[in-house]
Amino acid sequence: MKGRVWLGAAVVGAVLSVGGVSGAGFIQGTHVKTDLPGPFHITTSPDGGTLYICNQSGHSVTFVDARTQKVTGEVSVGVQPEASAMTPDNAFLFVCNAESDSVSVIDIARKQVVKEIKVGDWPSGIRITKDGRTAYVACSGCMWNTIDVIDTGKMEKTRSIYTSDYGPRTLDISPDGKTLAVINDTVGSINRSVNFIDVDTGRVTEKRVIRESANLRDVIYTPDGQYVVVTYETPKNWLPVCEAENGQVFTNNIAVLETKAGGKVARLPLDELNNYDGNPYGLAMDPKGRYLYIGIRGMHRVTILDMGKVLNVVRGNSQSELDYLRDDLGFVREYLVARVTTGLGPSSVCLSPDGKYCYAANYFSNNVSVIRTPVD
Amino acid sequence: MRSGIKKIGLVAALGLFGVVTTGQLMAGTPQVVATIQTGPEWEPLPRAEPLTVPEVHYRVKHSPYKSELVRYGQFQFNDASWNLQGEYSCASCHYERGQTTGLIWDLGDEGWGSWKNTKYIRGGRYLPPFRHEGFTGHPDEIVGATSSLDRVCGRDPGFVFRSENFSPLRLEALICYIRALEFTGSPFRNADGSLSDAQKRGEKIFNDPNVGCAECHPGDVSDPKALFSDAQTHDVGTGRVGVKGFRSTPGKVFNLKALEAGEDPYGEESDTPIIGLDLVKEFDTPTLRDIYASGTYFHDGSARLLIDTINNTVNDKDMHGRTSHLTAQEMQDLVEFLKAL
Repeated sequence: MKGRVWLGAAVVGAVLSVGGVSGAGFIQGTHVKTDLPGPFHITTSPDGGTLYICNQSGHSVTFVDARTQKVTGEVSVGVQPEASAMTPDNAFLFVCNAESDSVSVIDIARKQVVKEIKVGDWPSGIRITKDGRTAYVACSGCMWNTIDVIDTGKMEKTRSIYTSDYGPRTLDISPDGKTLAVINDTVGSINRSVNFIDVDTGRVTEKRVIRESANLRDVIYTPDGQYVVVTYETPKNWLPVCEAENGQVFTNNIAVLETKAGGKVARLPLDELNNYDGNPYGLAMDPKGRYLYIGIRGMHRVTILDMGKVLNVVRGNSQSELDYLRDDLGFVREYLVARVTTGLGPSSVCLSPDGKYCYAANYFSNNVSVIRTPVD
Repeated sequence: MRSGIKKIGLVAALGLFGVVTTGQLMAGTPQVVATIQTGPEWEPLPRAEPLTVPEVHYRVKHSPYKSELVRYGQFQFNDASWNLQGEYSCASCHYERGQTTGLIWDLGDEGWGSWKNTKYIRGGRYLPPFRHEGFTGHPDEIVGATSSLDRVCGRDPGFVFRSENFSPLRLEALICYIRALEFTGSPFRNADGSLSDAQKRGEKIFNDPNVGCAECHPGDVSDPKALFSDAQTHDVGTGRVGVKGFRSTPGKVFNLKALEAGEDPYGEESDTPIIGLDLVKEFDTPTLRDIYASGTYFHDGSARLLIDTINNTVNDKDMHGRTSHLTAQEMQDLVEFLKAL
């Protein structure tokens, strides 16, 4: 993003004022001003008491008291915040500013940005370790391939981990803290990949391809660490588009990957005939791993899957058998719990710590849908 | 929290929010129980009477940068619900940053069987024409009267999207959003916007008349408005017309069999009939702005990387710049320069 200095530093600088409340932002991708914040990402405090919402167009983070459901504050950050992660002590929120190529650190008590850390091109995903000492930032630029590592105490970037392919969109940390799972949304590739990275060495231990995939949007570990789930779309671009009515342009899927070396990659459908899940985005899973929640940005709903049934499918079929399931428009009924209509454009979901409430950030409606989950 | 949730949940149950479940609605069924408004309320444009096919000369009537219209257009761009079955949105190919997935498609509007690279649409308003072969002229026609995008997104979106046509206002909003998309700028320059040493060396090569890049991609790197395109069509050795009416293979092109085998699909393919876009030998000169983000390259996506566009592996020798005399280091410097645009 260095070069963006010459594109309009004055405009950007006005938005970067530290510690203030945001004014008008810009509609994503344009220089057109808007008062609509465009909530793009949502996360909770460790105790579930506060929701933190990254406003992609508003260039700010909104604080919401989860109990009273009232907005309690707003803090300006860099341009186009797309992800955030909270330290376990609830002291600092680290926010990825995609357009600014930086991470803003918000002091929660003071509701102020206390540091802005330069990172690689287009940071769009971040996770913090359980001990709170390290943040991993996925820098997803089209010709960029780093996971930048931040020492959260010093609030400094300490090193970069290199992925096998360009465009690392986001990541998750394994429950034992030893491995990163990174999704590479590599422009131009129809076989996009997941990297498993050893945290200690910073090396990719395995690149696993999700065949015929594009638009990888989120990744999450199951609580036992044996699987990761990825949202993506399957482009049918080797077929004439005249086949559109038969679902031959895109299908919308999750991939479930066994995390053991050389494990299976199950590509499972989210679509039903005449009822597709266009543009699956953010993921959340309850602490016991019973349900998976998927923000369906293009269809304005959250799809809920029974993870036990999903994993039964993965365990009970060979790789070649799994390969036949991807386009089966009746198969999602095997594990679908519900499709819950939300506001417009839910691109991110998160859960209360007890798993009883799912929060969806609705980009176009500028609100958050609170969903009562099936968890007792 | 729960008392508040109960109150709003009643409203939700009355129909403010929909719930679609696999079975009957019952206690414990997941549902929206509250909505927390964190910004101004917003609703999309209603689905009015769709535009009819004979209405062909469509133009933007309002300011293309009117915020509300651009926002409506952005919504439309990201909305899959108007597509038959909710299968995908514009953003599935030109994903939400307004860029490109770099995938190549057989859309059929230039004839079935010819692969076409997904165009990068940021900054598109600055540089018509918009199709690879150089059709369409006026910026208003990005999704307007005569462009391919009009057929895809505007007058007759049914062709690709199998949807209803847009109402005039919805189409105008989509046009406004696409027109408003700006280049991102390169992340590969120095922090002060200057060029690195390798990029400077590459700039010299770029402007060397013996190499000839600047003949078709003119532009001054210090000018933020430079587009590095002459907006003309040229034969750069990427037309695939070969002997006996089959696709020639000066380099690698998309290979269906390899794809189906789960391998790199950019292998050699020599028996594809020449039809549609492959009959064209001259293609529109694209801008080099944001070229780092707009791969894959060439009209058919045959160049996956920037180096492939200049190393004579996917096009006829020295047709896309005269580069065969350059050393490997000079080639790499040239790539570094391109990444800075």
